[in-house]
Amino acid sequence: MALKFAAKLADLVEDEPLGLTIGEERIALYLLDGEVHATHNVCTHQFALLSDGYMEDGCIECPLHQGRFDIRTGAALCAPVTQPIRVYGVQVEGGEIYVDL
Amino acid sequence: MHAQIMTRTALIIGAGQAGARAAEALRTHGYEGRIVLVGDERHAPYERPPLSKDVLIAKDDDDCFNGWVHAVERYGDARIEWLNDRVLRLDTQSCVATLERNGELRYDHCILTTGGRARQLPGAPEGPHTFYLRTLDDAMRLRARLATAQSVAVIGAGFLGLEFAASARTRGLDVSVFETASGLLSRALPPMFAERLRMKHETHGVRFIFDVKHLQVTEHADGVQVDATPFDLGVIAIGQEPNDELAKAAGMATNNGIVVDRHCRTSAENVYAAGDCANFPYGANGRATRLESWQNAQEQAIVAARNIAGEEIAYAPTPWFWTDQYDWNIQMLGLPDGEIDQWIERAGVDDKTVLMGLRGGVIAHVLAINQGGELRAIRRLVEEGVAVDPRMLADPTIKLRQLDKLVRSTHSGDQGVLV
Repeated sequence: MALKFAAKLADLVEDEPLGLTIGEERIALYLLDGEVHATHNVCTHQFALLSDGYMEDGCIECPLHQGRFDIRTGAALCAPVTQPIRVYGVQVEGGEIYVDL
Repeated sequence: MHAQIMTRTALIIGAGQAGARAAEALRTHGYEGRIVLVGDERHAPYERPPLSKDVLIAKDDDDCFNGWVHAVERYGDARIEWLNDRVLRLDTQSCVATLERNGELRYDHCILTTGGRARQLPGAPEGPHTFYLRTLDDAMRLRARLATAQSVAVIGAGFLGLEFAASARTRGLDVSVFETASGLLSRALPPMFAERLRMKHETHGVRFIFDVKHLQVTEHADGVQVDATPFDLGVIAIGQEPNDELAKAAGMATNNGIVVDRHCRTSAENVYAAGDCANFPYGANGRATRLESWQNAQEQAIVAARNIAGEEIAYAPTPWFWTDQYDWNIQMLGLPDGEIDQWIERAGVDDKTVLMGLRGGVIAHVLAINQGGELRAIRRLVEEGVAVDPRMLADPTIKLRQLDKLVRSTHSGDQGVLV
Protein backbone atom coordinates (compact mmCIF):
# COMPACT_ATOMS: atom_id res chain seq x y z
CA MET A 1 0.00 0.00 0.00
CA ALA A 2 1.35 3.39 -0.94
CA LEU A 3 -0.08 6.82 -1.47
CA LYS A 4 -0.11 7.78 -5.13
CA PHE A 5 -0.95 11.15 -6.59
CA ALA A 6 -4.30 10.98 -8.37
CA ALA A 7 -5.60 14.44 -9.24
CA LYS A 8 -5.91 18.02 -8.14
CA LEU A 9 -8.83 18.69 -5.85
CA ALA A 10 -9.83 21.61 -8.05
CA ASP A 11 -10.48 19.16 -10.93
CA LEU A 12 -13.12 17.30 -8.99
CA VAL A 13 -16.73 18.49 -9.12
CA GLU A 14 -19.43 17.53 -6.64
CA ASP A 15 -21.58 14.65 -7.96
CA GLU A 16 -19.43 14.19 -11.09
CA PRO A 17 -17.13 11.17 -10.91
CA LEU A 18 -13.66 11.41 -12.39
CA GLY A 19 -12.01 8.38 -13.96
CA LEU A 20 -8.25 8.00 -14.16
CA THR A 21 -5.54 5.39 -14.39
CA ILE A 22 -2.75 5.21 -11.82
CA GLY A 23 -0.13 2.74 -12.92
CA GLU A 24 -2.27 -0.22 -13.97
CA GLU A 25 -5.20 0.62 -11.74
CA ARG A 26 -8.39 2.19 -13.00
CA ILE A 27 -9.69 4.48 -10.29
CA ALA A 28 -12.79 6.61 -9.95
CA LEU A 29 -12.73 9.67 -7.71
CA TYR A 30 -15.81 11.28 -6.24
CA LEU A 31 -16.49 14.51 -4.39
CA LEU A 32 -19.29 13.79 -1.98
CA ASP A 33 -20.45 16.47 0.47
CA GLY A 34 -17.03 18.06 0.22
CA GLU A 35 -15.22 14.78 0.92
CA VAL A 36 -13.12 12.86 -1.61
CA HIS A 37 -13.71 9.14 -2.09
CA ALA A 38 -12.10 6.61 -4.42
CA THR A 39 -13.30 3.27 -5.80
CA HIS A 40 -12.11 0.89 -8.44
CA ASN A 41 -13.52 2.18 -11.72
CA VAL A 42 -14.65 -1.07 -13.36
CA CYS A 43 -18.09 -2.42 -12.53
CA THR A 44 -18.09 -5.85 -10.88
CA HIS A 45 -20.88 -7.03 -13.18
CA GLN A 46 -19.54 -6.38 -16.67
CA PHE A 47 -16.85 -4.20 -18.13
CA ALA A 48 -17.93 -0.60 -17.78
CA LEU A 49 -16.31 2.47 -16.27
CA LEU A 50 -18.23 3.71 -13.28
CA SER A 51 -16.89 7.20 -13.96
CA ASP A 52 -19.16 7.21 -17.03
CA GLY A 53 -22.06 6.46 -14.74
CA TYR A 54 -24.45 8.53 -12.71
CA MET A 55 -23.73 9.76 -9.21
CA GLU A 56 -26.52 10.56 -6.79
CA ASP A 57 -27.19 10.34 -3.05
CA GLY A 58 -23.77 8.91 -2.25
CA CYS A 59 -24.11 6.16 -4.84
CA ILE A 60 -22.54 5.53 -8.21
CA GLU A 61 -24.71 3.88 -10.81
CA CYS A 62 -23.09 1.86 -13.58
CA PRO A 63 -23.74 3.31 -17.06
CA LEU A 64 -24.33 -0.12 -18.60
CA HIS A 65 -27.10 -1.66 -16.55
CA GLN A 66 -27.77 0.76 -13.69
CA GLY A 67 -26.33 -1.46 -10.96
CA ARG A 68 -25.57 0.74 -7.95
CA PHE A 69 -22.69 0.93 -5.44
CA ASP A 70 -22.30 2.86 -2.20
CA ILE A 71 -19.38 5.19 -2.87
CA ARG A 72 -18.26 5.24 0.78
CA THR A 73 -18.33 1.49 1.45
CA GLY A 74 -18.32 -0.07 -2.01
CA ALA A 75 -21.40 -2.15 -1.15
CA ALA A 76 -23.43 -3.47 -4.10
CA LEU A 77 -26.89 -1.97 -3.60
CA CYS A 78 -29.11 -3.25 -6.36
CA ALA A 79 -29.38 -5.73 -9.19
CA PRO A 80 -27.75 -6.62 -11.44
CA VAL A 81 -24.64 -6.03 -9.35
CA THR A 82 -24.00 -8.40 -6.48
CA GLN A 83 -20.26 -8.05 -5.80
CA PRO A 84 -19.03 -4.95 -3.96
CA ILE A 85 -16.65 -2.53 -5.63
CA ARG A 86 -13.22 -2.02 -4.07
CA VAL A 87 -12.77 1.24 -2.19
CA TYR A 88 -9.44 2.96 -1.52
CA GLY A 89 -8.13 5.20 1.18
CA VAL A 90 -7.78 8.85 0.16
CA GLN A 91 -5.67 11.72 1.50
CA VAL A 92 -5.96 15.32 0.42
CA GLU A 93 -2.92 17.51 1.00
CA GLY A 94 -2.30 20.98 -0.31
CA GLY A 95 -5.10 20.72 -2.86
CA GLU A 96 -3.80 17.39 -4.19
CA ILE A 97 -5.59 14.05 -3.94
CA TYR A 98 -3.59 10.94 -3.07
CA VAL A 99 -5.04 7.42 -3.28
CA ASP A 100 -3.76 4.54 -1.19
CA LEU A 101 -3.02 1.75 -3.67
CA MET B 1 -55.62 -25.09 16.20
CA HIS B 2 -52.77 -26.74 14.36
CA ALA B 3 -49.92 -24.32 13.67
CA GLN B 4 -49.73 -25.24 10.03
CA ILE B 5 -53.28 -24.15 9.37
CA MET B 6 -52.27 -20.66 10.43
CA THR B 7 -49.39 -20.49 7.98
CA ARG B 8 -50.05 -18.79 4.70
CA THR B 9 -48.47 -20.03 1.49
CA ALA B 10 -47.37 -17.93 -1.46
CA LEU B 11 -46.91 -19.96 -4.60
CA ILE B 12 -44.82 -18.48 -7.38
CA ILE B 13 -45.12 -20.26 -10.70
CA GLY B 14 -42.15 -19.69 -12.97
CA ALA B 15 -38.61 -19.52 -11.56
CA GLY B 16 -36.94 -17.01 -13.85
CA GLN B 17 -35.77 -13.52 -12.94
CA ALA B 18 -39.30 -12.32 -12.15
CA GLY B 19 -40.15 -15.35 -10.02
CA ALA B 20 -36.94 -15.16 -8.01
CA ARG B 21 -37.31 -11.41 -7.48
CA ALA B 22 -40.92 -11.85 -6.40
CA ALA B 23 -39.91 -14.51 -3.89
CA GLU B 24 -37.16 -12.36 -2.43
CA ALA B 25 -39.39 -9.27 -2.31
CA LEU B 26 -42.15 -11.16 -0.50
CA ARG B 27 -39.68 -12.08 2.22
CA THR B 28 -37.97 -8.72 2.49
CA HIS B 29 -41.34 -6.97 2.65
CA GLY B 30 -42.52 -9.01 5.55
CA TYR B 31 -44.38 -12.00 4.15
CA GLU B 32 -44.10 -14.51 6.97
CA GLY B 33 -45.65 -17.59 5.38
CA ARG B 34 -44.23 -20.30 3.17
CA ILE B 35 -42.83 -19.17 -0.15
CA VAL B 36 -42.75 -21.86 -2.82
CA LEU B 37 -41.06 -21.07 -6.13
CA VAL B 38 -41.75 -23.62 -8.86
CA GLY B 39 -39.86 -23.69 -12.15
CA ASP B 40 -39.55 -26.28 -14.86
CA GLU B 41 -35.92 -25.53 -15.73
CA ARG B 42 -33.32 -27.58 -13.90
CA HIS B 43 -31.26 -24.47 -13.14
CA ALA B 44 -31.69 -22.09 -10.25
CA PRO B 45 -33.28 -18.79 -11.35
CA TYR B 46 -31.12 -16.78 -13.70
CA GLU B 47 -31.20 -13.64 -15.83
CA ARG B 48 -31.41 -14.05 -19.58
CA PRO B 49 -29.51 -11.06 -21.01
CA PRO B 50 -26.14 -12.89 -20.95
CA LEU B 51 -27.50 -15.82 -23.01
CA SER B 52 -27.11 -14.08 -26.35
CA LYS B 53 -23.79 -12.44 -25.44
CA ASP B 54 -21.39 -13.53 -22.67
CA VAL B 55 -22.44 -17.17 -22.77
CA LEU B 56 -21.72 -17.32 -26.49
CA ILE B 57 -18.45 -15.38 -26.59
CA ALA B 58 -16.71 -16.18 -23.28
CA LYS B 59 -13.41 -18.00 -23.77
CA ASP B 60 -13.78 -20.58 -21.00
CA ASP B 61 -16.69 -22.91 -20.50
CA ASP B 62 -16.23 -22.66 -16.74
CA ASP B 63 -16.97 -18.99 -16.42
CA CYS B 64 -19.17 -18.36 -19.42
CA PHE B 65 -22.23 -17.78 -17.26
CA ASN B 66 -22.71 -15.80 -14.06
CA GLY B 67 -26.25 -14.56 -14.42
CA TRP B 68 -27.75 -16.21 -11.35
CA VAL B 69 -30.40 -14.01 -9.75
CA HIS B 70 -29.36 -15.02 -6.23
CA ALA B 71 -26.53 -17.05 -4.78
CA VAL B 72 -28.05 -20.46 -4.16
CA GLU B 73 -27.73 -20.13 -0.33
CA ARG B 74 -30.03 -17.13 -0.49
CA TYR B 75 -33.05 -19.37 -1.06
CA GLY B 76 -32.40 -21.35 2.10
CA ASP B 77 -31.54 -18.26 4.13
CA ALA B 78 -34.76 -16.54 3.08
CA ARG B 79 -36.78 -19.76 3.52
CA ILE B 80 -37.72 -19.83 -0.14
CA GLU B 81 -38.55 -23.35 -1.29
CA TRP B 82 -37.36 -23.65 -4.87
CA LEU B 83 -38.84 -26.68 -6.62
CA ASN B 84 -37.83 -27.97 -10.01
CA ASP B 85 -41.27 -29.03 -11.13
CA ARG B 86 -44.06 -28.15 -13.49
CA VAL B 87 -47.53 -26.89 -12.57
CA LEU B 88 -50.07 -28.86 -14.55
CA ARG B 89 -53.28 -27.23 -13.34
CA LEU B 90 -54.39 -24.31 -11.30
CA ASP B 91 -57.75 -24.31 -9.55
CA THR B 92 -58.37 -20.74 -8.54
CA GLN B 93 -61.67 -21.61 -6.80
CA SER B 94 -60.15 -24.00 -4.29
CA CYS B 95 -56.71 -22.34 -4.53
CA VAL B 96 -54.90 -25.54 -5.38
CA ALA B 97 -52.08 -26.09 -7.86
CA THR B 98 -51.34 -29.55 -9.18
CA LEU B 99 -47.66 -30.22 -9.71
CA GLU B 100 -46.26 -32.92 -11.93
CA ARG B 101 -44.03 -34.51 -9.28
CA ASN B 102 -44.95 -32.88 -5.99
CA GLY B 103 -48.71 -33.39 -6.06
CA GLU B 104 -51.23 -30.80 -4.88
CA LEU B 105 -50.28 -27.55 -3.22
CA ARG B 106 -52.72 -25.20 -1.55
CA TYR B 107 -51.91 -21.54 -1.79
CA ASP B 108 -53.19 -18.35 -0.25
CA HIS B 109 -51.50 -16.14 -2.81
CA CYS B 110 -50.13 -16.98 -6.20
CA ILE B 111 -47.88 -15.08 -8.59
CA LEU B 112 -47.62 -16.19 -12.20
CA THR B 113 -44.17 -15.43 -13.56
CA THR B 114 -44.31 -17.95 -16.34
CA GLY B 115 -42.36 -15.83 -18.82
CA GLY B 116 -42.40 -16.57 -22.51
CA ARG B 117 -41.01 -18.89 -25.11
CA ALA B 118 -39.39 -18.43 -28.48
CA ARG B 119 -41.93 -17.98 -31.26
CA GLN B 120 -41.68 -20.89 -33.65
CA LEU B 121 -41.16 -20.42 -37.35
CA PRO B 122 -43.68 -22.67 -39.12
CA GLY B 123 -41.99 -25.66 -40.68
CA ALA B 124 -38.74 -25.07 -38.79
CA PRO B 125 -38.78 -26.97 -35.51
CA GLU B 126 -35.64 -27.09 -33.39
CA GLY B 127 -33.23 -29.59 -34.90
CA PRO B 128 -29.57 -30.57 -35.00
CA HIS B 129 -28.79 -27.43 -37.02
CA THR B 130 -31.83 -25.28 -36.23
CA PHE B 131 -31.69 -23.35 -32.98
CA TYR B 132 -33.96 -21.21 -30.86
CA LEU B 133 -32.59 -19.19 -27.98
CA ARG B 134 -34.50 -18.74 -24.77
CA THR B 135 -32.97 -20.86 -22.00
CA LEU B 136 -29.52 -21.39 -20.57
CA ASP B 137 -29.54 -24.91 -21.99
CA ASP B 138 -30.35 -23.46 -25.45
CA ALA B 139 -27.44 -21.03 -25.08
CA MET B 140 -24.98 -23.70 -23.96
CA ARG B 141 -25.96 -25.93 -26.86
CA LEU B 142 -25.50 -23.02 -29.24
CA ARG B 143 -22.17 -22.13 -27.65
CA ALA B 144 -20.89 -25.64 -28.31
CA ARG B 145 -22.12 -25.51 -31.89
CA LEU B 146 -20.46 -22.13 -32.57
CA ALA B 147 -17.08 -23.65 -31.75
CA THR B 148 -17.08 -25.68 -34.96
CA ALA B 149 -19.46 -23.84 -37.29
CA GLN B 150 -18.30 -21.49 -40.07
CA SER B 151 -21.52 -19.89 -41.18
CA VAL B 152 -24.85 -19.04 -39.59
CA ALA B 153 -28.18 -17.76 -40.83
CA VAL B 154 -30.00 -15.58 -38.32
CA ILE B 155 -33.73 -15.37 -38.86
CA GLY B 156 -35.10 -12.12 -37.51
CA ALA B 157 -33.40 -8.72 -37.07
CA GLY B 158 -34.86 -7.94 -33.64
CA PHE B 159 -32.82 -7.34 -30.51
CA LEU B 160 -32.16 -11.03 -29.87
CA GLY B 161 -31.24 -11.78 -33.48
CA LEU B 162 -28.90 -8.79 -33.64
CA GLU B 163 -27.22 -9.58 -30.32
CA PHE B 164 -26.69 -13.12 -31.49
CA ALA B 165 -25.36 -11.87 -34.84
CA ALA B 166 -22.84 -9.63 -33.03
CA SER B 167 -21.71 -12.52 -30.84
CA ALA B 168 -21.35 -14.85 -33.81
CA ARG B 169 -19.29 -12.24 -35.70
CA THR B 170 -17.16 -11.74 -32.59
CA ARG B 171 -16.45 -15.48 -32.77
CA GLY B 172 -15.50 -15.13 -36.41
CA LEU B 173 -18.46 -16.84 -38.07
CA ASP B 174 -19.90 -15.76 -41.37
CA VAL B 175 -23.24 -14.16 -40.46
CA SER B 176 -26.29 -13.50 -42.63
CA VAL B 177 -29.42 -11.98 -41.13
CA PHE B 178 -32.78 -12.57 -42.83
CA GLU B 179 -35.69 -10.27 -42.06
CA THR B 180 -39.18 -9.93 -43.50
CA ALA B 181 -39.35 -6.17 -42.81
CA SER B 182 -37.41 -3.69 -44.90
CA GLY B 183 -35.10 -2.69 -42.05
CA LEU B 184 -34.01 -3.75 -38.63
CA LEU B 185 -35.93 -2.99 -35.47
CA SER B 186 -38.37 -0.84 -37.37
CA ARG B 187 -40.92 -0.82 -34.56
CA ALA B 188 -38.46 -0.13 -31.75
CA LEU B 189 -36.13 2.47 -33.24
CA PRO B 190 -36.56 5.56 -35.40
CA PRO B 191 -35.24 4.93 -38.93
CA MET B 192 -32.17 7.17 -38.63
CA PHE B 193 -31.06 5.31 -35.51
CA ALA B 194 -31.82 1.86 -36.92
CA GLU B 195 -29.72 2.83 -39.92
CA ARG B 196 -26.67 3.47 -37.74
CA LEU B 197 -27.07 0.10 -36.12
CA ARG B 198 -27.34 -1.57 -39.52
CA MET B 199 -24.12 0.15 -40.60
CA LYS B 200 -22.43 -0.92 -37.38
CA HIS B 201 -23.28 -4.54 -38.17
CA GLU B 202 -22.27 -4.23 -41.79
CA THR B 203 -18.94 -2.68 -40.80
CA HIS B 204 -18.42 -5.80 -38.70
CA GLY B 205 -19.19 -7.98 -41.71
CA VAL B 206 -22.82 -8.97 -41.20
CA ARG B 207 -24.86 -9.44 -44.36
CA PHE B 208 -28.53 -8.38 -44.21
CA ILE B 209 -31.24 -9.75 -46.43
CA PHE B 210 -34.37 -7.63 -45.94
CA ASP B 211 -37.88 -7.89 -47.37
CA VAL B 212 -37.75 -11.67 -47.41
CA LYS B 213 -41.25 -12.64 -48.48
CA HIS B 214 -41.44 -16.15 -47.20
CA LEU B 215 -38.87 -17.35 -44.70
CA GLN B 216 -38.07 -21.01 -44.88
CA VAL B 217 -35.41 -22.90 -42.99
CA THR B 218 -34.77 -26.43 -44.21
CA GLU B 219 -32.64 -28.92 -42.31
CA HIS B 220 -30.12 -31.04 -44.19
CA ALA B 221 -27.72 -33.69 -42.98
CA ASP B 222 -24.92 -31.18 -42.40
CA GLY B 223 -26.62 -27.81 -42.06
CA VAL B 224 -29.60 -25.72 -43.04
CA GLN B 225 -30.75 -24.02 -46.19
CA VAL B 226 -32.30 -20.55 -46.13
CA ASP B 227 -33.45 -18.89 -49.33
CA ALA B 228 -31.52 -21.48 -51.36
CA THR B 229 -28.26 -20.65 -49.52
CA PRO B 230 -26.59 -23.30 -47.34
CA PHE B 231 -25.41 -22.50 -43.79
CA ASP B 232 -23.91 -24.60 -41.04
CA LEU B 233 -26.69 -23.60 -38.71
CA GLY B 234 -29.76 -21.43 -38.45
CA VAL B 235 -30.79 -19.40 -35.41
CA ILE B 236 -34.39 -18.35 -35.33
CA ALA B 237 -35.17 -15.21 -33.34
CA ILE B 238 -38.57 -14.00 -34.50
CA GLY B 239 -39.96 -12.94 -31.16
CA GLN B 240 -41.43 -14.27 -28.02
CA GLU B 241 -44.83 -15.66 -27.03
CA PRO B 242 -46.17 -15.34 -23.51
CA ASN B 243 -46.70 -18.49 -21.47
CA ASP B 244 -50.32 -17.79 -20.58
CA GLU B 245 -51.84 -21.22 -21.20
CA LEU B 246 -51.95 -22.26 -17.55
CA ALA B 247 -53.82 -19.07 -16.67
CA LYS B 248 -56.15 -19.45 -19.62
CA ALA B 249 -56.96 -23.05 -18.73
CA ALA B 250 -57.71 -21.85 -15.18
CA GLY B 251 -60.29 -19.44 -16.59
CA MET B 252 -58.31 -16.25 -16.10
CA ALA B 253 -58.50 -13.40 -18.56
CA THR B 254 -55.71 -13.63 -21.14
CA ASN B 255 -55.00 -11.58 -24.22
CA ASN B 256 -51.45 -11.63 -25.49
CA GLY B 257 -50.43 -12.59 -21.98
CA ILE B 258 -52.14 -12.77 -18.64
CA VAL B 259 -54.28 -9.68 -18.17
CA VAL B 260 -53.51 -7.81 -14.96
CA ASP B 261 -54.56 -4.49 -13.49
CA ARG B 262 -52.23 -1.74 -12.31
CA HIS B 263 -51.65 -3.66 -9.09
CA CYS B 264 -50.57 -6.79 -11.00
CA ARG B 265 -53.78 -8.63 -10.06
CA THR B 266 -55.21 -11.11 -12.53
CA SER B 267 -58.93 -11.73 -12.91
CA ALA B 268 -58.67 -14.55 -10.34
CA GLU B 269 -58.76 -13.71 -6.67
CA ASN B 270 -55.37 -13.65 -4.94
CA VAL B 271 -53.57 -14.49 -8.18
CA TYR B 272 -51.06 -11.98 -9.56
CA ALA B 273 -48.88 -11.99 -12.65
CA ALA B 274 -45.66 -10.19 -13.56
CA GLY B 275 -42.87 -10.09 -16.10
CA ASP B 276 -42.86 -11.22 -19.73
CA CYS B 277 -46.16 -13.10 -19.31
CA ALA B 278 -48.19 -10.18 -17.95
CA ASN B 279 -50.25 -7.76 -20.00
CA PHE B 280 -50.79 -4.62 -17.94
CA PRO B 281 -52.37 -1.17 -18.39
CA TYR B 282 -49.60 1.27 -19.28
CA GLY B 283 -49.55 5.02 -19.10
CA ALA B 284 -52.28 7.55 -18.49
CA ASN B 285 -54.66 5.92 -20.98
CA GLY B 286 -53.99 2.41 -19.66
CA ARG B 287 -53.05 0.90 -22.99
CA ALA B 288 -52.71 -2.92 -22.74
CA THR B 289 -48.97 -3.52 -22.84
CA ARG B 290 -46.66 -6.46 -22.45
CA LEU B 291 -42.99 -5.70 -21.97
CA GLU B 292 -40.21 -8.19 -22.49
CA SER B 293 -37.35 -6.66 -20.58
CA TRP B 294 -35.01 -7.08 -17.65
CA GLN B 295 -36.50 -4.02 -15.96
CA ASN B 296 -40.06 -5.27 -16.31
CA ALA B 297 -39.21 -8.73 -14.98
CA GLN B 298 -37.51 -7.09 -12.04
CA GLU B 299 -39.83 -4.28 -11.08
CA GLN B 300 -43.25 -5.67 -11.88
CA ALA B 301 -42.46 -8.80 -9.89
CA ILE B 302 -41.44 -6.71 -6.90
CA VAL B 303 -44.63 -4.64 -7.11
CA ALA B 304 -46.76 -7.81 -7.22
CA ALA B 305 -44.93 -9.19 -4.19
CA ARG B 306 -45.24 -6.00 -2.19
CA ASN B 307 -48.95 -5.84 -2.89
CA ILE B 308 -49.32 -9.38 -1.56
CA ALA B 309 -47.27 -8.39 1.48
CA GLY B 310 -49.84 -5.75 2.27
CA GLU B 311 -48.96 -2.64 0.31
CA GLU B 312 -51.05 -0.96 -2.36
CA ILE B 313 -48.67 0.03 -5.14
CA ALA B 314 -49.47 0.67 -8.78
CA TYR B 315 -46.97 -0.48 -11.37
CA ALA B 316 -46.19 2.56 -13.52
CA PRO B 317 -42.82 2.03 -15.17
CA THR B 318 -40.87 4.27 -17.47
CA PRO B 319 -39.81 1.49 -19.83
CA TRP B 320 -36.04 1.14 -20.02
CA PHE B 321 -34.19 -1.29 -22.26
CA TRP B 322 -30.61 -1.98 -23.12
CA THR B 323 -28.89 -4.07 -25.73
CA ASP B 324 -25.17 -4.83 -25.98
CA GLN B 325 -23.84 -5.35 -29.51
CA TYR B 326 -20.10 -5.31 -30.25
CA ASP B 327 -18.70 -2.37 -28.25
CA TRP B 328 -22.03 -0.55 -28.23
CA ASN B 329 -24.29 -0.41 -25.22
CA ILE B 330 -27.56 0.98 -26.54
CA GLN B 331 -30.13 2.18 -24.06
CA MET B 332 -33.70 3.21 -24.66
CA LEU B 333 -35.96 5.07 -22.28
CA GLY B 334 -39.67 5.40 -22.92
CA LEU B 335 -41.67 3.55 -25.57
CA PRO B 336 -41.55 4.40 -29.26
CA ASP B 337 -45.28 5.05 -29.32
CA GLY B 338 -46.77 8.10 -30.94
CA GLU B 339 -45.22 10.84 -32.97
CA ILE B 340 -42.10 12.66 -31.91
CA ASP B 341 -42.22 16.43 -32.60
CA GLN B 342 -38.49 16.97 -32.57
CA TRP B 343 -35.29 14.98 -32.07
CA ILE B 344 -32.36 16.64 -30.38
CA GLU B 345 -29.02 14.90 -30.50
CA ARG B 346 -25.94 15.30 -28.36
CA ALA B 347 -23.17 13.46 -30.11
CA GLY B 348 -19.92 12.76 -28.29
CA VAL B 349 -16.58 11.28 -29.26
CA ASP B 350 -16.43 7.91 -31.03
CA ASP B 351 -19.99 6.72 -31.50
CA LYS B 352 -21.26 8.09 -28.22
CA THR B 353 -24.57 9.84 -28.51
CA VAL B 354 -27.78 10.76 -26.77
CA LEU B 355 -30.90 11.33 -28.84
CA MET B 356 -33.84 12.93 -27.14
CA GLY B 357 -37.30 12.87 -28.67
CA LEU B 358 -39.67 15.61 -27.58
CA ARG B 359 -43.42 15.36 -27.66
CA GLY B 360 -45.60 18.19 -26.41
CA GLY B 361 -42.68 19.90 -24.70
CA VAL B 362 -41.54 16.89 -22.63
CA ILE B 363 -38.85 14.30 -23.34
CA ALA B 364 -40.82 11.24 -24.40
CA HIS B 365 -38.14 8.93 -25.74
CA VAL B 366 -34.38 8.77 -25.25
CA LEU B 367 -31.86 6.66 -27.15
CA ALA B 368 -28.22 6.47 -26.20
CA ILE B 369 -25.10 4.77 -27.47
CA ASN B 370 -22.44 4.26 -24.80
CA GLN B 371 -23.93 7.11 -22.81
CA GLY B 372 -25.91 5.30 -20.13
CA GLY B 373 -24.85 7.81 -17.49
CA GLU B 374 -26.14 10.70 -19.56
CA LEU B 375 -29.43 8.96 -20.21
CA ARG B 376 -29.72 8.24 -16.51
CA ALA B 377 -29.14 11.89 -15.70
CA ILE B 378 -32.36 12.90 -17.46
CA ARG B 379 -34.43 9.87 -16.45
CA ARG B 380 -36.42 11.67 -13.82
CA LEU B 381 -37.40 14.40 -16.26
CA VAL B 382 -38.78 11.69 -18.54
CA GLU B 383 -40.48 9.80 -15.73
CA GLU B 384 -42.21 12.85 -14.37
CA GLY B 385 -42.98 14.41 -17.75
CA VAL B 386 -41.30 17.67 -16.78
CA ALA B 387 -41.44 20.31 -19.53
CA VAL B 388 -37.97 21.09 -20.88
CA ASP B 389 -36.93 23.96 -23.08
CA PRO B 390 -35.55 22.37 -26.27
CA ARG B 391 -32.91 25.11 -26.47
CA MET B 392 -31.48 23.87 -23.17
CA LEU B 393 -31.34 20.32 -24.50
CA ALA B 394 -29.50 21.51 -27.58
CA ASP B 395 -27.10 23.80 -25.73
CA PRO B 396 -23.73 22.04 -25.47
CA THR B 397 -22.63 24.32 -22.63
CA ILE B 398 -25.32 22.84 -20.40
CA LYS B 399 -24.35 19.41 -19.07
CA LEU B 400 -27.17 16.87 -19.13
CA ARG B 401 -26.10 16.00 -15.59
CA GLN B 402 -26.98 19.53 -14.52
CA LEU B 403 -30.17 19.73 -16.53
CA ASP B 404 -32.51 18.23 -13.94
CA LYS B 405 -31.54 20.77 -11.29
CA LEU B 406 -31.50 23.58 -13.80
CA VAL B 407 -34.94 22.81 -15.24
CA ARG B 408 -36.49 22.51 -11.81
CA SER B 409 -34.97 25.75 -10.57
CA THR B 410 -36.26 27.48 -13.72
CA HIS B 411 -39.71 26.04 -13.08
CA SER B 412 -39.78 27.11 -9.46
CA GLY B 413 -38.66 30.55 -10.66
CA ASP B 414 -41.67 30.63 -12.99
CA GLN B 415 -43.94 29.85 -10.09
CA GLY B 416 -42.36 32.66 -8.12
CA VAL B 417 -43.26 35.07 -10.90
CA LEU B 418 -46.84 33.79 -11.01
CA VAL B 419 -47.28 34.24 -7.29
